[in-house]
Amino acid sequence: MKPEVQHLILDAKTGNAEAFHALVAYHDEKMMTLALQLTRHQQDAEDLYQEVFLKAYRYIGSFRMESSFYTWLYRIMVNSFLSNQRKEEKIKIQEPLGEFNNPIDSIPADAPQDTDVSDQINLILKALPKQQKTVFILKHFQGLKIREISDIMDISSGTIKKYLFRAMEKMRTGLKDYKYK
Amino acid sequence: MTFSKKEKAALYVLNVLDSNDNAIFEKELAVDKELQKWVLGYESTLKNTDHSFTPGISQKQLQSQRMDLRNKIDSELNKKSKKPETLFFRSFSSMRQPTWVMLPLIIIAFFIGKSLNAPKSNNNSKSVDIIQLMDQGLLTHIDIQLNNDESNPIQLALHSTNEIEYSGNLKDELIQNMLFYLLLNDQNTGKRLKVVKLLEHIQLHEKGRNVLISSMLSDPNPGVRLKSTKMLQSYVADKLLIDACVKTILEDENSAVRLSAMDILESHPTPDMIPALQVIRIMDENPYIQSRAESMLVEFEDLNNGKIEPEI
Repeated sequence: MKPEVQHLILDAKTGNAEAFHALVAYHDEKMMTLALQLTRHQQDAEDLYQEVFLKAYRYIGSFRMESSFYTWLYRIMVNSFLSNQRKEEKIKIQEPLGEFNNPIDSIPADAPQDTDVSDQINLILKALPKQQKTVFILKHFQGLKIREISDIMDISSGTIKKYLFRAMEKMRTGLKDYKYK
Repeated sequence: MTFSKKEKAALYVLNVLDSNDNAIFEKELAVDKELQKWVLGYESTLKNTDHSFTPGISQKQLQSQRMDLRNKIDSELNKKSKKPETLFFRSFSSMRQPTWVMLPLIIIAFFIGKSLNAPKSNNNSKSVDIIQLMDQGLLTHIDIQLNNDESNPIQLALHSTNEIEYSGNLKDELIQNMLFYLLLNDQNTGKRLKVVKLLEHIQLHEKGRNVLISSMLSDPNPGVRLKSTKMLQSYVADKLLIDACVKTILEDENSAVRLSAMDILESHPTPDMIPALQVIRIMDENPYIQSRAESMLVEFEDLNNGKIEPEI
């Protein structure tokens, strides 16, 4: 951890709001990127950004500086994202029984060639189980190490590797008609 | 291509194999043409995702988010500083008062202040912290321990975000709420299993039963889903539970969970479940479940003089 960041954290822990805002400016670009990658939706990403930094502000007193500040923020973001997803799922569960479509089935197997590859990736990511999706994003898009992901998500490295493989397999199957040039 | 080779190929491309496995894999890769194809496939997949998703974030956008955050934090700070009692005392003290009025007030204020500053019970303040953390979704990395204290055998300790420890028994509402929270939110399967086993020892009220229903419907682990479903067998089945069981027998991928949900439906048969049973009788991959659905439909037929259409 850089000494200036450490200094800002210590100040913020004593209730100095300006020090906290400086910390936000230092870290928020990466956090907004992760929010966009997780939610794939501008408004949802902005809501997640606000939620995470407000929680960080309220609980910075409990940050023990044993991990990096990024790891702590990532943990808050991943927990908030997964918790929001669960709430959404519960709302869906309460809807009347009707269709029982598996979202993975909604990915067209023979994707039309004129479909943008990023649309197809969006579809696949949307259909992935939330844990697999989160692990894949943290590893591939954020470039985190397995150990760091394990710290953030509180799951073993073996489980992370399993999630990564499953996510990769689904990505490969869903993107098989899009050859990278 | 074996499953394990595919897995290694994917992990190799993602650069997460440890150095030993990596060296072994590279040796294999040099001679195995099919493996090379898989590696190329995974590499192409990753390049596609790189190429297509690099969100551009402008400084203007970040500035606007920072402003929003600043306003929210400022309003929180304002709320804290404008406590009603502070305003009351400030306005009162700003008035000029004769000494004979002020003296009794000073004495009363002394005793009020003394009672307000009296140390609160430790467990109470922890309860507030824990509830706050639950509301904020920040309650993570909780360890559950069972200790020898008979009156308070369960100890929950929170490690990562705060140092909170709380002990109690299963009748303790806060312990129950934390266990519900863990069952629905904790990512560690072993911990969720431990929780559901602890909850088995008490008859839960409606909230607890709904938590079990939610776990039966959405827990990623079949063991936890099964345990929750089995526990639901001891509850009176209302429409919510019946609907949830119907959804489970139609959708759950694990046949033991489906069978357990079937047990609940069997003990509370209603005509609403007939369409689902008709589907199960034909579509379920497990012949035993098919035959159970068949025999339930026969019972409905017997009870309804040969008609098995649900009432409209």
